[in-house]
Amino acid sequence: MAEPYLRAHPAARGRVSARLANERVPHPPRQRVLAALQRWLYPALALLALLGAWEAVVRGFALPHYILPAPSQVLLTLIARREVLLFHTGITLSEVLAGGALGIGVGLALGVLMFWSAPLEKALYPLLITSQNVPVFAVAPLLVVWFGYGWLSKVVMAAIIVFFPITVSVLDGLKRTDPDLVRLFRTMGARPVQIFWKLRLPAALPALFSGLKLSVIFSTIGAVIGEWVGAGAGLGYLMLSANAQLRVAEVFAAILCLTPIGLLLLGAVVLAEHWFLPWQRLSRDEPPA
Amino acid sequence: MPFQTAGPAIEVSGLSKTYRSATGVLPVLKDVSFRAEAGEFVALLGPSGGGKSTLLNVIAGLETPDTGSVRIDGRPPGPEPRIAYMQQKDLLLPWRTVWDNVLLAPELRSRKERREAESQARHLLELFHLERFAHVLPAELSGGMRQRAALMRTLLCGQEILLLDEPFGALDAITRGRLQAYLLRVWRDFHKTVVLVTHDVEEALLLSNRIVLLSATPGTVMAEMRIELPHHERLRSFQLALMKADILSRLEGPDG
Repeated sequence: MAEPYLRAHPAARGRVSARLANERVPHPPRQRVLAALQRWLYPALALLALLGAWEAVVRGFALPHYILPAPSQVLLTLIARREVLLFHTGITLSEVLAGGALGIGVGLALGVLMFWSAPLEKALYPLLITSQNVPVFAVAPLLVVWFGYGWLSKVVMAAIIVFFPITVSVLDGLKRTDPDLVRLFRTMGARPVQIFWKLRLPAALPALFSGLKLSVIFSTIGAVIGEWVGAGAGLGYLMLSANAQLRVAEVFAAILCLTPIGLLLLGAVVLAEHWFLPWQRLSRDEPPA
Repeated sequence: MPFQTAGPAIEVSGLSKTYRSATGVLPVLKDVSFRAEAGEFVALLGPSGGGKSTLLNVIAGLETPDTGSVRIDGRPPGPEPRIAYMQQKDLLLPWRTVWDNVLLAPELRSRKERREAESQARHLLELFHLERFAHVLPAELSGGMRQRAALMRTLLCGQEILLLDEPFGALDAITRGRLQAYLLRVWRDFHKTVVLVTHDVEEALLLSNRIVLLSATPGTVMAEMRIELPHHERLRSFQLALMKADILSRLEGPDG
């Protein structure tokens, strides 16, 4: 009778699991493994089914590879062209990282400046909102004119998309500090600089991290758009040139290389959040009685 | 037990305050005067929403009155802190451990002050039975433990005057009783002047030397009563039961 929970009569199961949830009893190992399996197994099965259907359709209808290549063909291309793909992935990754860093830096600075200076906020905020209604595609050709055909114009493109969510989330986070906490600091004789560093900034970190999560995804989009408009290297460039030559399998291979960039960066941000904001994790749980 | 009388620590005279907004005017305090001697434990007792918190904010220098004056140790409240302030909300910083939270006030003054306060903090952690939780984040503590940590932080502000705004209002009866005992002990051991705002008649009767009875909005002083009985005799005192009945009938008032 090692696991009475699992052996309970089916009619009693709902009650047992409700009790488990209320008392926050840790799940027994078998249940935990099952839960993990379900989380990964189902999407994996769905993906496999999709790929299988894709493969079957391509083979069954004998679709030409320049319309839709089979997944197996994409995989073969990925292996055969790995050095080219790796080279262009490296270029795009460097643009994404540099553009993201630049955008985050500018966004942070702008958010903090707008927080400190009310006139600056009043002057810039409407402009910022309006600027977001200009499609980035419209600006991209100009960036090529100003910053050249190479690496820099893509970095600037990525930075332009990235800075906005950072600025807004920082400004919002800094402004939303609990006024009671600010008054507590005042009664302790804290100077404005201390209130900023020891209270407002740490209190704004959760908001900043939500902005960061958006940013790293936007950064990839920005870099690829920059490459589409005009470039001599990078995954966006590779996609366009392969597409023009009807090497569609290579387009898919390039997309496959692009996906992990965004996912890895997002994972890094989530990990950093987990590491730097342990109190966020804790406060989501119910406090102990 | 007897507290020294070295002149008033807090002197409030003729204080009035009205909040004005687009929708109307709301007088919250009307001609409030009272004193708290050094080392005294004064309870400001009144119904909820009677301007008690506004009164504390004015004393703390967080709000300015329309008329009247506040003197702390004979001087008006200035920018330099001379009181320690505690609220019903624990207001612990969620990213700081208990240890770093309680040392906040000396840390804001200087690194040296923080180092000097550490030995006292260690002593207080034991007194408050929090020594095992020094390096734990507030989110991992219960409500009573959090409020104990907040009380510790208030003590470590290093001020002689404690302003407590319904500090135990959010706690269950048993935890509140325990926290009240801690507060009493702190007041006695560290010779602080305590001004406690509360709407709990029993809390005021059990803890304070003097009760300043405030009316409903706009708050005015209706009565002051001194409690001479030693604290350990209070729970079983018939005299206090009579006082409680008296206070309750006054609070209910003619339109109650």
